Amino acid sequence: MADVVLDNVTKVFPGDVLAASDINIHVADKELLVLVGPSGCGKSTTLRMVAGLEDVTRGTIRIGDRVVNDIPPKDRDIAMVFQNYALYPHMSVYRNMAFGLKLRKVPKKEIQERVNQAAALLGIQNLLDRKPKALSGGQRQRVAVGRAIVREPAVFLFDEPLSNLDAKLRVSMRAELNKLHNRLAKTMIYVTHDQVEAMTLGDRIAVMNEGVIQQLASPLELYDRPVNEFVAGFLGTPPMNFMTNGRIKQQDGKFVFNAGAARIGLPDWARQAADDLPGRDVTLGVRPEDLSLGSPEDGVKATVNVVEPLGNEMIIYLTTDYHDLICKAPAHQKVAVDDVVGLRINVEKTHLFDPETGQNVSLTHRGQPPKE
Amino acid sequence: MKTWRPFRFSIAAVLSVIFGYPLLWMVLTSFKSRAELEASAWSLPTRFYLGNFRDVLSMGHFGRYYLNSIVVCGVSVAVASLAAAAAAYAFARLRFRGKEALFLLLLSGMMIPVHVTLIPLHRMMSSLGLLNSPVALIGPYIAFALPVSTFILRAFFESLPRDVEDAAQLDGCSPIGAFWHVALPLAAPALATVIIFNFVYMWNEFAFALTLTSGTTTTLPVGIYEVSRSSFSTHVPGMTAGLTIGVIPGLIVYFIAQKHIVKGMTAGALGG
Ligand SMILES: Nc1ncnc2c1ncn2[C@@H]1O[C@H](COP(=O)(O)OP(=O)(O)OP(=O)(O)O)[C@@H](O)[C@H]1O
Ligand SMILES: [Mg+2]
Repeated sequence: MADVVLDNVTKVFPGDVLAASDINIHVADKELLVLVGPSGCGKSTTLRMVAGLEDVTRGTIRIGDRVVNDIPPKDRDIAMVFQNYALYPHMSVYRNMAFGLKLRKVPKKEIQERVNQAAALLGIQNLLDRKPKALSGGQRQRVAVGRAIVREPAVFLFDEPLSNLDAKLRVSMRAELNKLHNRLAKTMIYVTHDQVEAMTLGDRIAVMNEGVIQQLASPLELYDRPVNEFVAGFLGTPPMNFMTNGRIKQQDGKFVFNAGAARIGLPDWARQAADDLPGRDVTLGVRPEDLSLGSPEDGVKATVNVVEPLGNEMIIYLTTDYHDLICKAPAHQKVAVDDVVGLRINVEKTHLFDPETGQNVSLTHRGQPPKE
Repeated sequence: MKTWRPFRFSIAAVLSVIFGYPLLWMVLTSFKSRAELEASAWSLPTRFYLGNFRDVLSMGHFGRYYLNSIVVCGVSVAVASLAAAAAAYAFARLRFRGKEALFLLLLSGMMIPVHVTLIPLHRMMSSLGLLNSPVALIGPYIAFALPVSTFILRAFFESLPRDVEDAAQLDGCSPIGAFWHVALPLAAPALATVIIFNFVYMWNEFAFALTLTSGTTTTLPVGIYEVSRSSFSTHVPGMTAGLTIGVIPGLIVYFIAQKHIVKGMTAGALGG
């Protein structure tokens, strides 16, 4: 039983670099929590504080029922997989995996059993005698994971473990890690800047930017109800369209989002949202899949710039008189560059952002999502 | 670039003859009897004659000097390399106040012309009663080896990926354990450089050995100097036999250590 609690954890590096600011996270026992965010946002720093490789400037970190702030890494009962694997180059694969057990004075026979078991699980039995430099990237990756699991720690930490692999291998390793998590049933914290990895692996995801946790929720909750522009724009490919510099206007008793020639009727929640932002510019967020193409007579008029057929769908880049937009259309949509089309918008799924704070102002007014 | 290759090879060939031939001549001559040398100085020895080695080893204290050299150099190189590695690791990895100033202070040791310390050292060793003991040489040898060695090793430790040591700490090492089990083995190439560098310097060191030791306590360079001043110096094959024995430890150290320099131990630590 080991949950991990970060309570107002702050890290300031020398030179007043604020790498992590008031981080509050509770990773439940056996949960896989993903920490995702752009490069330099403080993910690694946060993870390294949990590992004990960085001091905590303020706040407390608890693992299980111990506050670990002053406990050295070796006594925290955690294992970590590093982005560059960090295998011991002078040791064979076997010794790499056995090293931690040997230091903990596990009997030789048991070490052998556990290493072999982990090697079998990861399919690296035939590599045990090799040195790391004689392994491919994917094999090194497995050894690094193997080194972590033989230790049977209470908590696993992963720092972008897949980012050095090619795209195909990454997808298959991702699935394997997912299986591994189900099988080991251990608490895991997984850092990545890849949103697909985050969405597919995480029980819950913490989205981080500039040292601050923006939102911590389940993958679908993050996707459907992003609290601010950053989260909305970070998750999803292609990213959400932001129609900026618009105004909410009342027209025939209905609320309309107006920017340039575009007039987009909004659902009821827009009424309260508009009250929150009287007479100010707002940003309307629309996901590419909530846009569809129709005849130019109805909807927002737009010109097609680029068409990217992907086989299963089509990505279409358009310009209105005011914005650049991206639309995800069915694979066989009839469309060509320079076509003028009318865009239909699934307004129920749009979001309204306050451009000054970036907050999603439509969220509080649109009721709770149906409970799972 | 291609057209330069024959040119470069000829330069290498000329250099290897210039440096290698005297060595070869010395070794060959040490297997010739005196009569044979006088008859033909440049030919190969006609038989495997070991009399010269017997002569030189039974001559005065030659064997004793040899042993002294091995003890003094062995201890000095071992202690200096380990101490420098530990210091270099601390300079490379720890954060503490005044680190760079302290490092500069250490490096300034490189700027002391060693021979100006001969007289003060002689007086100090004399008042400590350490003159004519191995310690009289081991102390200064270590002290003068530390700055350069620490400098080389620090640069190397800083180039090592920190993650590997972090991984060792999570695996159960204390920071010192991470140094011992991971950083030090990975520093083998730099350590080899330092060991060769220091060993060659100490093995050939003359001035300190002459000043601080004498008689049976001195080392091989002084010993050979003494022999060369004695009547034995006319025994040319005997002299070359002594020199041949003298260069062997240097060659052994060099051949063992240089393998590690070439190896490049960090290959495979990182992905990508
Ligand atoms: N030792 C350090 N000293 C000073 N600043 C540091 C140190 N380590 C990290 N930082 C800074 O802290 C911030 C967060 O770094 P961190 O490594 O946690 O980012 P990250 O989210 O892991 O990024 P990436 O995805 O590129 O790995 C960065 O601005 C970085 O420059
Ligand atoms: Mg990172």
